[in-house]
Parts: sequence; C-alpha cells; structure tokens
Amino acid sequence: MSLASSKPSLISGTGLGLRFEHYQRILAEKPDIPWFEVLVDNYMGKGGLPLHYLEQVCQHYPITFHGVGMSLGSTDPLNLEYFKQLKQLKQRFQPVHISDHIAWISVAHQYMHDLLPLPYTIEAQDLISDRISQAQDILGETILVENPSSYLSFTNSEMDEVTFIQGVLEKSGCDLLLDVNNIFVSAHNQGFDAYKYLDGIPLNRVREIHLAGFEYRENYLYDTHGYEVRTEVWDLYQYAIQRFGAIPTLIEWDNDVPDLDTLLGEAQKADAILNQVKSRSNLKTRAL
Amino acid sequence: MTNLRDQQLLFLEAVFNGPDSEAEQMLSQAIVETDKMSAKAHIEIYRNGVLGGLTQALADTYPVCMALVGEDFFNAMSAHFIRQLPSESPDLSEFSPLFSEFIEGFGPASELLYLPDVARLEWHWHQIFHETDCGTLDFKKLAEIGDQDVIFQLVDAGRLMHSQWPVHKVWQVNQAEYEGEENVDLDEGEIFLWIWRNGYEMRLDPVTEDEWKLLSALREQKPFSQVCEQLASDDEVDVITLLPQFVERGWVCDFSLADAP
Repeated sequence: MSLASSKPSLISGTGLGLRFEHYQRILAEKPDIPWFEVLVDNYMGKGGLPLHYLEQVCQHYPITFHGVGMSLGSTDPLNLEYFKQLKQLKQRFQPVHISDHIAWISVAHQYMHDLLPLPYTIEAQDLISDRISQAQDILGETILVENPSSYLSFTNSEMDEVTFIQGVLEKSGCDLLLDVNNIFVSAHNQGFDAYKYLDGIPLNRVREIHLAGFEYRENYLYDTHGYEVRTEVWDLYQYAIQRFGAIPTLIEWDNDVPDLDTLLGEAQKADAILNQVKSRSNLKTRAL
Repeated sequence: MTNLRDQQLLFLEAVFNGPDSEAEQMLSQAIVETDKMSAKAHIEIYRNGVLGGLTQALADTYPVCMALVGEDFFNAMSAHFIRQLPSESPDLSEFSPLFSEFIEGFGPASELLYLPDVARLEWHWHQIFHETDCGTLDFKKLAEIGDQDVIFQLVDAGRLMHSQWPVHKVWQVNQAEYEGEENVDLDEGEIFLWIWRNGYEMRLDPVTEDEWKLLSALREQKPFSQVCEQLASDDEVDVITLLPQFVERGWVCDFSLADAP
C-alpha cells in the first residue's frame, strides 16, 4: 500500500537523458543542465567505464534513475536479484527518484527487453499495483511509473488506460512519470482524445514529464525516441504544464543520438514553456 | 482467454514463434482489429520491437562477427539464436554468453571455422568492459610477508583465450581505426591471447605459450608454491622471470596469504 506521501522534487527545469556519446563533453565543459536521467539498466555491470563516468557526473549534477528491468506488469515473481543490484546503485549514486513503466518485459523468466502491453483489467491493475508496492518496499521509496506507448488494445480490457492508471496510483501509492509523447502516440493509434486523457490524470501525482520524438509509420505512429519533439506534442505538453504546473521535464533521445547542442535546443523549448507557467504563478503569488 | 498469465505466455510464444504460429492465431483473437490494421499487424509491431532490439544488442556485442558475415547473414543467424537461447536476465549486457557455441552448431556458418572464436573473443571483450575494477599491487605489503606462501590475484577484468586461428588479427583489421595490411593468413598457426583492461583502457595482447600457462595457473588461485612446482615439473616455465613482468604490466593486482583462514 501507499508509502509516505510524495516528497518535494529536488530537481526542476528540463533535464537530459545521459548518453554515452556525451560523457566526455559533459565532464569537460560541465554545461548548464539542471539534471540528468540515467538509464539504470545500463549500469548493472560490476565496474568499468560506464560506472566511472557516472560517478563523475553525479559529483556535478542531480540524477534520476529510469529503467525497464522491474518488469512491473509481469506475472512472474519479482526478480529479486535485479532489485538487489538496483538498490546497491541507489545507495551508491543517490538518485532523486527511480522510475519504470506500466508494462512488462518478461514472462517465464525470459526477457524480451521491450515494453509489452497489459490488458486494462482489474486483474492486471491489481497485479501491477501489488508489484509496485513490493518494489517500493524493497527500495524504500515511492517510485514513478510511466504511461506506455501502445500499439494494440485487448478485447478483454474492462476500462480505458487513464482509468487503469488512476487505479494503479490509488492502489500502490506510486507517482506518475507522464510521457506526453506516449500519450500522443497512443491516442493516435488507439483513437482517443489526448487532451481528455490529461484531464483524467490526478493533479498532484505527476513528478516528471518525458518528451521525445515519434516516427510516422504507414498505419500508425511509433515511439522511436529518434527525432525532435513534434509540434503536436509541444502543444500537448503546454496543456499538461498548464494543468500540472512546472513539472521537471526530460528530453529523451535514444536512437541516432544527436550532438549535445541539439538536445540543449530541445531543452530550451521546454524551459520556455515551463517558465511561462512559473511567471504566471509568480504573478498570482504577488497578487495575493 | 482472460487469464493474464496465459495471455502473457501466449504473447511470448507469438513473438518468438512467428506470424504463422498457433500462438499468434490464438493471441489474435484477444486483439482489437482497427480500420487500418489487423490483429496480426498489431502483434507484428511488438514482434519487430522485441526481435529488432535483441538483434541490435547482438550487433553491438559482436560487431566484428557482423562485419565478417555481412548484416543480412548476421541478422538471420541472430534470429535463430534469439529463439533458441532467449535472454534470461533483465540486464541486456548479460545476453548471449553462448553465441559462440551457437555459431559452432549453426550449419550455414560451418565453413567459417574461425567465426566461433571471433565471437568468443568479442564476448570476452564485452565482459571485460563491464568487469570489476582492480587496484594495483601493494609492493610494500608484499615485501613484508617474508617467505610465507601467497596466492596471486590476476585482474578480474582479464580473460585467457587459445585459438587455432589468428582471431586477434581478424579482430584488428575489422576495427574502424585500423590502417595497414588487411589480409590475414588464417594458416599462421595457433595463438594465445590475454584480453584485459588496464584501468579503463581495453587491451588485446598476444602472449607466449609459457605466459599463457602461467596466467592459466594463476587464474586457478593456487598457492604460488604449487604454481611453481606444477609449471617447473610439467612445462619448465620460467616463473621467476615471468611473474615480475606480469606485475609490471599490471596483470597481477593483489595477493593473499595461502594459509590465511
């Protein structure tokens, strides 16, 4: 069940996903980036250069952990060895928070390493909520779960995605990593209204937002994280920020990773939107 | 079909067994068809995501194997491997320790006799990259032990390899930065390799057979007196000359007393 209520965020503004391609420049120039998100599954090794670099980055920047390895929606038992390693990494690097996905990547102890969909049933909602609670007990903190990009829906679903997520937040006490790009992709593929979806997300449970670029395929949109954030997603993001406030935001880019300046350009666009809300909030405070 | 467990097992089978499988037929009945896409087309998106991701992981770990056989052959070989030996860890870097053994039994690659050893070399390289960091040998502490027997510790980030083929040269000529003779004489005889990490610098060093024997004996963590005895009687390896060289090169990083509890 619910752990302690959400702690105030120790990060703000627009962070970047930490990618191997940028380590040397980041460490040499220490660019003005408020925080980095670390793909924690890439740091499960015993030693070597990735951990060495991460150690140095942590001395200058706050970090968060993001992964897929919890396989939260799986019907297998939790992989306790994975959680043991994750907890060791948490103790060593002190991330501001840890996040995973409303999805599963494994069953029968076989790992597919890709985010797979759940039917939106009470059974699946109870299962993932229970596993999130177990994960939170092991890690000793409230985790964040991310809404998926979906490319199919199941005939046995009993509710829509946003209702499913509301229940998961309620039952497990976890918080939400709201991926605005995923909402846009899923809304297009599944034919729902992305703005209404945002209206259904509880106001005080979003602790991080993801932005990324999708790809146009013949009959659907695909979440490749390999492009600039699309105009339609910036519009949706603006709406999300107006609704939820200046939530820490991340630019995700995993395929064909561009140079750091391109990512900083994307971050500036997000910051401009975040700052509009901050300015309005300051005006309101002064008026009071 | 409403049980989540059954649905996930079916999903797994449908992904790995392909579009014409019985699992795919059954899973299709649980997927909503849309105006533009059949249930099978929806499943195909996930299948491509899973198989594409795992194939990319293999390509990242075995880039020289891929260069040797070409992308199409490599992808086809990977598709067989992925179905035969699925990933069993959430850590993707642990995927495919048995790729070299798989290649040995993969018919279409049977003429490339050296390919399994190239894969073995690349797996060692991959493991060493993520292996435990080691410090340097404490000479002062070593000097203080007098004539007590010790067990020398090689760097964890080191692997030994013996091959009938000059796989280190095959590996070298396929590196992006390589300049020089590109032809490798595959008949130049067996080689002994020590693949290791010096700090964070990856190294691939051919060694002599004597060096390889001593490294192998040290790797077994036997007391040094036994190592000397074994190598002197069996092989006449000059341990007393070689060991200081190993220490100087950074291959030996620690020691413990042999009779320590």
